[in-house]
Amino acid sequence: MKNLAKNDGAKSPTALSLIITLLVIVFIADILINILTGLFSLGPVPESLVDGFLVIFLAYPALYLLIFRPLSREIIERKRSEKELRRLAAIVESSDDAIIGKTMDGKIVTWNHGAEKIYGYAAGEATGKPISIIAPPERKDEMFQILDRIKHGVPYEHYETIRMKKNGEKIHVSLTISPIYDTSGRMIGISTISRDITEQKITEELLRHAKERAELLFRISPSAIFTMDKDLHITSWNDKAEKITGYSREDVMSKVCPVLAGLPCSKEGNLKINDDAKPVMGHECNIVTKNGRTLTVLKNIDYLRDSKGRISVIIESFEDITDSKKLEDELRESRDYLNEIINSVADPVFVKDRQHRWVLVNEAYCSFMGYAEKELLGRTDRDFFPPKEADLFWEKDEEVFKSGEENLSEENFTDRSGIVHIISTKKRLYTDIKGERFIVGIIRDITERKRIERLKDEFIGTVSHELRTPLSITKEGISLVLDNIPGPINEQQSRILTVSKNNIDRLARIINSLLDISRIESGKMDIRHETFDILAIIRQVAGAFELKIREKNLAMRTSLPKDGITIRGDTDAVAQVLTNLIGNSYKFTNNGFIEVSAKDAGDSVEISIADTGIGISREDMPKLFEKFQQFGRVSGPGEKGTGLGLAIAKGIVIAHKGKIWVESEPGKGTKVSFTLPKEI
Amino acid sequence: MAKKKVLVVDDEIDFLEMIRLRLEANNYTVVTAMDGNEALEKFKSEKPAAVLLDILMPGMDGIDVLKKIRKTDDKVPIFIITAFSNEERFRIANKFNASGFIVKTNDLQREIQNITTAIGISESFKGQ
Repeated sequence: MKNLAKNDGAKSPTALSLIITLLVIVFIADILINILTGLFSLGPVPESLVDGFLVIFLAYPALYLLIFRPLSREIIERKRSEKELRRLAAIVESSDDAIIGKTMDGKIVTWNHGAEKIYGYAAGEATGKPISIIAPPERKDEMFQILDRIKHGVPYEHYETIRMKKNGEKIHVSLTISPIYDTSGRMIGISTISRDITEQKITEELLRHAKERAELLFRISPSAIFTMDKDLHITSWNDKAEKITGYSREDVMSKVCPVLAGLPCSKEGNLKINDDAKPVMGHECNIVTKNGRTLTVLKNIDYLRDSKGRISVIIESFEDITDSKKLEDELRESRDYLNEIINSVADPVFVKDRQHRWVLVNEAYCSFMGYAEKELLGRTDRDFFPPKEADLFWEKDEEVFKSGEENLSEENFTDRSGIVHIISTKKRLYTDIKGERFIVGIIRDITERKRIERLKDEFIGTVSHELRTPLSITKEGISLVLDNIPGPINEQQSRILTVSKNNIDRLARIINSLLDISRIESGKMDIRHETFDILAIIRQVAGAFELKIREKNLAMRTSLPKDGITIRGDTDAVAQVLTNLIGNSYKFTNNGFIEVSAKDAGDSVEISIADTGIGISREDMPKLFEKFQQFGRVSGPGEKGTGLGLAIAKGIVIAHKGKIWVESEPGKGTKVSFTLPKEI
Repeated sequence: MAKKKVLVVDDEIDFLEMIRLRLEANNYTVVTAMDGNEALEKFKSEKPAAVLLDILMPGMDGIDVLKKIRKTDDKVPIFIITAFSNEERFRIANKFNASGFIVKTNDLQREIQNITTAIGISESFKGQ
């Protein structure tokens, strides 16, 4: 500016100083006006004011027009630009978007407040740095491509990419990148406006996912799903809907739903949707498929509403329950059938759950208990029986639950009127498909049977006693004659009387057996607690048989430990068990041997009687220990049995708290074993 | 050697007859009684060397007779005649010191031998 003044002054040396002086004054005034207006942002300088000053210098119009006026204008323009720039700078600074200016080679020159907020770098940190500081490593190339494109004058608008914050966090940004030109049209830099669109991106992503999920569900749903607009036009129709109804998407799309022969539900043929319609859940109805088949479906209906609460979309889903319904009907029928059977059973039947609650009782059970089914279901024995009885039932149930084994027990049962019955209850475990366990029980009232049994026992007891006395008298009479006490008898007489006496003995044994079984069954078996050597008893009984066995050309073997085995029990009863078992072997063995063995089993002794006899068939095995059972009766000479021997043996062994079992193979032989605890 | 006297108590007359024959064949003198009271009287008057006593009798039964005899004589062998064994009766009989049992259906000759042995033992104690 100074140089310019000097050049003007050189034109006229005399008037020059005055002109220069005036010019300087005007110039300074002009500058002052401009500066003042510029500084205080008074808006564009009124040209009239400038022109006012110019009047003073009318004398120098040419000079003014040639030099001063253009100069003044230029200054004004420049000031105005600066002002505009400052205003722009203020706008830039207050923007939430990052506005970044950079040189053509990508060096940051301006970095507004928005850029600080978005990228985390302070203006001081970023300025002067390459723009690549905000590029994630994998996007450095992209940045160079952008610069390259901008250099070719092609701007970017709303270009979405990823940038990196100072802390390394990646953010989604939308960029508007433009070249900056100077007044001469030369590209002098690049401006970038970045907007953080991370939140927007996340929202978009979530929406996309939700949409995809909904579409997927719609596609893969095991239920048929379709949607309708408020005018009941079908707007979507999934694969399952196609499959169930036979109508393709093309068949139904944009059709009014009820037009389609009862689709989705003939009952809703005149369906009209009001905005206050409520969702429908689990509605069962029939539909007709494309090929005319009627199906039973279970359907749900719900609605999407607009912001004013008006229905905009109707969503229906339905499932074909024709088969399951059929199955359910069949199941119901079979359950009714089963109930009918259970109820027709004369014996009381019940089912209890793991908490001992009745879950099923038949009519006989209800009448036996004297309560209605609804009074019993869900309750337990403890709600009805005296504590002692209930505890016993409970205990028996527990045994079955724990062991899983069938249980048959005799119990007392007090009915509603207080009458005590004797019942025999068979309980077995039932585990359902879910693994829950139940007890299925069937009761038989054996009160009457027990009474008859008691009478029978008494009868047998009395009769046996009454029989024995005359028998013993008869026997003794014969014995006296046989012993020649009244006088000598001849050989034939002796032979006849011997046969008579033997048969009296046989009769006595039968009576004894009947008495024994009667006592065993009535629980009146008296077991004497004597201490004895079991081996001595075995030897004694086996010894008594030895002669008979040898006469039948059989071998008698014993396999006994050297040392005696002392046990407590009833000597006579144990001897009887051995007699019965060896007697059976003797009876059913025609060749080979009979072997009696014993071994010490710690707390007990195990005794076995094995033979090479005719054996027992598989079907006879279960009945073996029942009374009056006779298997493989031997024809010809020899004493016939009563069919009580094994039943008595079992009764005695059990009274001793022992066990008895049989192994046998027809044609090969039989082995009967039993244990006796050393202490009872 | 003087015959030993045995008192047999039973309400069955036929049985009494049979056992009498058996005992006499075994060189015993037999005194019989058919009920408890008669038995106690005969025991007192006859002073038998042994008593065979039926348990089941009308009126005073064998156990009562046993108790009463034992009050005056705890040595004399007393055998219980029974049709069949019964734990309870055995226990009572043992409690009042019965010497043994005669099971009616058993071989009486063998049972008599037991009686003979018991009398022998009893006599030998007396002799001491």
